Amino acid sequence: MNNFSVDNLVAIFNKINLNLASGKPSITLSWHHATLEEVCLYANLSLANLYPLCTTYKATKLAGAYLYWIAKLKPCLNLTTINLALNESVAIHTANAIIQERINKIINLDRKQFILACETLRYSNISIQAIIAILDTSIKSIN
Amino acid sequence: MNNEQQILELLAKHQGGIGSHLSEALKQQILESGKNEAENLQPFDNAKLCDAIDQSLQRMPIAWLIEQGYE
Repeated sequence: MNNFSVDNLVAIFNKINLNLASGKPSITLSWHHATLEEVCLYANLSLANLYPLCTTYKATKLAGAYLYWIAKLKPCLNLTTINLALNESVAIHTANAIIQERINKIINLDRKQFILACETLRYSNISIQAIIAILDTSIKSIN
Repeated sequence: MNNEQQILELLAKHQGGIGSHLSEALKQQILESGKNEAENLQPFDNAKLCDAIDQSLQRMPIAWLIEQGYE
């Protein structure tokens, strides 16, 4: 069980959409609410299967599960241009928001690492456990 | 456990590997101690999530991907 709900995910996606719409180039996203519900459902199922003794989950585990399922289920559609790694980058930003909101720490990747992370999520197999392990060892306190 | 021979004997006796010689009760205790409960049980704050997204998109802009050719 966790406190993170589909409403929180919608708030995050709306904020990302707002940011991207005002950027250059302007990008407009769309998504189906049912897909976001599916992301939440499978993130919770994965956590329950992976950690049957836990009743709540620490930030990196929660973030890792959501990162994995957003990258896998690809809920975002780009209405303006085709952006091949859009969902993977949205997944990273969502995980970052969860971690920062819970424990005030961040995933801070430089350009090369960010692109590599998006490519890995898109073109390679990576497990939830591996993602959680990477998050556990790479998050940093906000200066 | 203080020498190589003892470790080899232990592994020979317990084919399941390190840890397989522990009792079920002790295994359960170790599993329980490894629990990783939430640091914060408050409901998620959408305002804080949105603020984090703003900062995240500034640090790691999606434009990086477009410049890289992912468009």
